[in-house]
Parts: sequence; C-alpha cells; structure tokens
Amino acid sequence: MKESEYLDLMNGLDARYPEEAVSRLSGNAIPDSETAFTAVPVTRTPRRIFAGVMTAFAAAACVFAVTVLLPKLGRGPESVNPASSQPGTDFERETAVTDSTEENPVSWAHTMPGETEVGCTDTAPGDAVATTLKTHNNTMPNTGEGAVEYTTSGAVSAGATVTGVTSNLYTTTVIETPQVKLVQNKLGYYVLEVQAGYHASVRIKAEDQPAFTLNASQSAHIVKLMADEKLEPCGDKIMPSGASPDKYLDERLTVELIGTDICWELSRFKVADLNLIQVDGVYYQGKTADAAKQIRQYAQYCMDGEEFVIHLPADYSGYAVIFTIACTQNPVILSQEDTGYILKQMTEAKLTEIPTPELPCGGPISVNLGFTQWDIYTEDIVSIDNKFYRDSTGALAELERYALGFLGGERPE
Amino acid sequence: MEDREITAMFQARDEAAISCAMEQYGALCLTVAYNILGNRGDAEECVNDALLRVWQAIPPARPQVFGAYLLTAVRHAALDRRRETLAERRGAGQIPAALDELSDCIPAPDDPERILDARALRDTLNRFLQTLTPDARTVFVSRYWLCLNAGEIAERMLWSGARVKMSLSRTRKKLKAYLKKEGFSDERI
Repeated sequence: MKESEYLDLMNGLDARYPEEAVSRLSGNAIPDSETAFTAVPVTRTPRRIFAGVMTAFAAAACVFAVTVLLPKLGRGPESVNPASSQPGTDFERETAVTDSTEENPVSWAHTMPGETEVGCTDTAPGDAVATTLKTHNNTMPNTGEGAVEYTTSGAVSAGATVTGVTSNLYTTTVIETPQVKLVQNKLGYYVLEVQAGYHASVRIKAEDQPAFTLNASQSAHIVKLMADEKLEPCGDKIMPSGASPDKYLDERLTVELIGTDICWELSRFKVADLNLIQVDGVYYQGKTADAAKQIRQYAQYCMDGEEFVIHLPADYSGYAVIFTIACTQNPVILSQEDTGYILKQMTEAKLTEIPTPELPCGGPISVNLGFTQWDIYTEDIVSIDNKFYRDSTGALAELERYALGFLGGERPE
Repeated sequence: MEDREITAMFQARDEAAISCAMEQYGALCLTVAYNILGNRGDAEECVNDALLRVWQAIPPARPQVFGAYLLTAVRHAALDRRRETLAERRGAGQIPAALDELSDCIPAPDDPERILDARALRDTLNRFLQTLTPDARTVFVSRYWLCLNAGEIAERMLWSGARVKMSLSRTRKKLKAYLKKEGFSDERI
C-alpha cells in the first residue's frame, strides 16, 4: 500500500469515528445533536447512537465502573474511566463512610494528569476534611463521633482520576452489593466492578498474624470463589453430639472485602475435615466443591508469600491473553499471578510417561500457557503433546483443583 | 471549557477563542501535526494555519464537535505540508510506521481493477470500525487517523503502553480477518 492510498483510506473514515476518538482523548462528550460535523459527510443515524452513548457517560458521571484484575495495565482498582469525567460536568457523589479511625483512614483525592495530586486524607474522626480541586474549592464537613459523612460536588477536569474512599461495615452476607459486583469481562477476566467512592480489595487475616491485603487479581479470585460458594446454614448439626463448633475450633481465617459489608470467617476444626464458613456468627457449609477450602488455601498461599509470580518483559505483558484454562468452551484468561501459580504446580509435578489410559467421560480440563498445553484428565493423569503421563506427587491434583476453581468448581459433564 | 463554549466564542468572533482552543487542544494538535511531519517547527506552523482556517470557517460553520473539527483541520494542514515536502521529508513522522503496521492486513492495490476496490475497502473499514468497542476504536483511530504513537495514546487514555499496543495488535488481526471475510483477500487486494 502506498502512502497516498493509506491517507486516502484514512481520509475516508466516517467522521463520527474521529469525532469519537478526539472526544474520548480530550475527555469531551460527543453532543447529542444532528448538527453536522461539517468537514466530512456524516452518516447520521449511527452517529446519534454514539452521541447517545457518550451523553449517557456524561450523565452517569457519578457512577464509575472500576476495573480490577488488569494489574499490568498499571491501573489500580480505583482507576476511573476517563470518559466519565467531563470538563465542566457537575460531579456529584454522596458517600456515607463509617468507622473512620487511625487504622482505617478515609481518603479522597483527585489526580489531574500531569499535575500534582490534590485531595485530602482524613485520618481520624473529627478531623477537618478539605480538598482543593482545579476548578472547584470544596470543604467536606466531618460530623465527628466516629463517622464521616459528606457530599461534594464540583467540576472535574478532563481525564481526572478519582481515588478511594474506604469504609468498614460488616453486617450482611451478600456477595453482590450495590457497590461491588463480580463480573466476567469480555476477555474472560474476573473483575470487580466497584461503584465510585468505594475501594474493593480483599484483606485476609489469620489469628496471630498481621492482616494482609490482596492485590486486585487475588481479590477478584477470592471473590469469585466466594461467589461460587452456595451457602446453607448448618449450625451445629454437623458437630459431634450437638456441641458448639467453637469448642473444636482449630484455626480461624478472616476474609473481608474492604469497602463493602462482606466479611467471612473460614473456620477449620480439629474433629474432622470440616470447612465451615461463619458469617455473622452463623455457620455455613459449602454445597459445591469445597470453595471454602479453596479460599483458605488460596488465602494461605497469599499470606505465606508462596505465590509464584512470573515476571514478563514489558512488551510481553499483553500476551497474558494466552494463559487460559478451559473445559472445551469458555476459556478463562488468567492473571500473571495465577499463571505463575499454575506454572509452579507444573514445575513441581514429576511426570512418568504411561500408555494411553482409559479416559473418563467429560473430556479434560485444559491449561494453556501458550507454549504448552496440559490436558488434565484425572487428578493424576495428564496429556501433553499427545503423550500421557502420570503424576504421583500431588502437584497435578492441586493444579486440577486450582483450575476447577476457575471453572466453577466442577468437572464438565 | 466545553466544545460548545469554544464554538460560541468563534461564532462571536471573540479572539480569546483561539487561546481557549489552544488551551484545550493545543497539545494534541501539536502532537498530531508533529507525528505527521516529524518536524516541530513545521508542526507549529500547521497548527497555526489550522487555527486560522477554523477562524475563517466559523462562522458560518457550526461544528458540533469542535475538537474533532480542529483536529481534522490540523491533520489536513499537516498532510498538505507533508505532500509539499515529501521529497525531502520521506520517512519522517509516524505515517511510515503506521502505514507499515497496516500494510500487513491491508496489502497494496497495484492494478486498475484493485484500485476500484479502494472505495469498497473504505466502506468496509468503516463497517469494521462499527464492530469494535469504543475503546478499541478510539485507539485504532488515534493511531491511524491521528497518527499518535502508542505512548501518546496511552497517556491520554490513562492506559499502559503495552495495553495500547496489544489493543492495536488485536484490532489489526480482527481487521485482517474481517477483510478476508468480506472478500478482500490477499489475492484480491
């Protein structure tokens, strides 16, 4: 293709596409109007669709979708879609935050691209909370008495990023709250959609150990496991002689979703391999493939620092897409951390080649790391490049359990 | 300042409109012009030329999306300048790199029959862009229409450079497949 042909081709782009791109790059909304962009003929109807979409973005400026689990993109869970922050658009939010303490500070900051971060941090009840925005001065009243409540409004500059408000309030057992939802994005990543003003990440705490806050990827994984768990109260019926579970409590691990009202206690008991979850003092037992156990295991890996993370060159980072787990359909794309863990299990598995065995129905669970694909048929039989191997170390079983965690906890029928 | 306010200032022949437009879009305009021309002095001149054109065009023109209107003017001015100096400047700016990237999925027509396909190709490209997500479309247009490089797109999208490159790579693959499906195979184009 010659340069002139390339330029002709690009000059022939429908005007709404450059309009959309320029508007998004500059943080401007595309107006909802039939008035022509006069330089190039425009197909009107689709343009209106785009204009409507962009206007909807502007109207929803107080509700930002925050994407998690894409850590290599360099954006934390508090990142905000820049298209939602329009210059001159009234920016309003109301967030009630409780339990502002030295340990759990309330923070509020606006970061303007290329400028020093401005904002405020409230470190204790009763402290004044003030923020200075580029285009708006605002003071948020602090009511004291252990609670901070404020409403702020103002204009936010183009591309503004709004970061964090934390709260601690544990009362209900619902995984999906109005503030936090677990969704699977188009790439297959599990992400936490977090309402603006909330910060979602998982903090785990074992007795006699310091609390440990998980990163975005780990948090979404835990929340997925939580969401997979189908709970039913079991009380003390499963305990010997109707004794209180607490009597046999061996270890307790707390898993909380910061910024929401979710806090689970994963309890392990001496009397049996009982993996119970306690929420607000009520005991539950998982009906599905011991998600509680997986949560505990995963959390423990994180706390112990045993997670095996692979470090990819910067230019290779986009290729996380090739790291997948699948049972024939719907591959789940893994984060680097999860890929690293799986790679660790693969490394640890000591395999012995065997003749083609009798294979179970339902097909394998495939773990694809781009350069290698393992088809796991049972807890100890795997196929690699059309050869079958048996593993006797238990690493393959662990790998399968880990993979099943991504696939809903059950083997395909 | 919003586009409609800047447009209103141009309509009112308020000379402050120029500085407001530059404050809002100056950096992007300069980047686009520089990436087309590869020369800062020429780029600055082109931006000034474009602003003059816009000043002369509004009124009667009433662009609804002022940013895109201005950027289009800057782009046209830069391309005109580039054509004038192509002999000396061949290889400058982002166009050769952008062209090189796209050539893999849109091979060159080299006979009259294939030239007739150019219009169909343009329509097909427009249809293809309709199928993309807004993010992917913005990145694609930013790269190949605005001639921004990955770093510049990343900075404005608040993405990482790697994510921009990956988005472009995926979009080019999709484009290649889409063109093939639409009959623009390597043999035809």
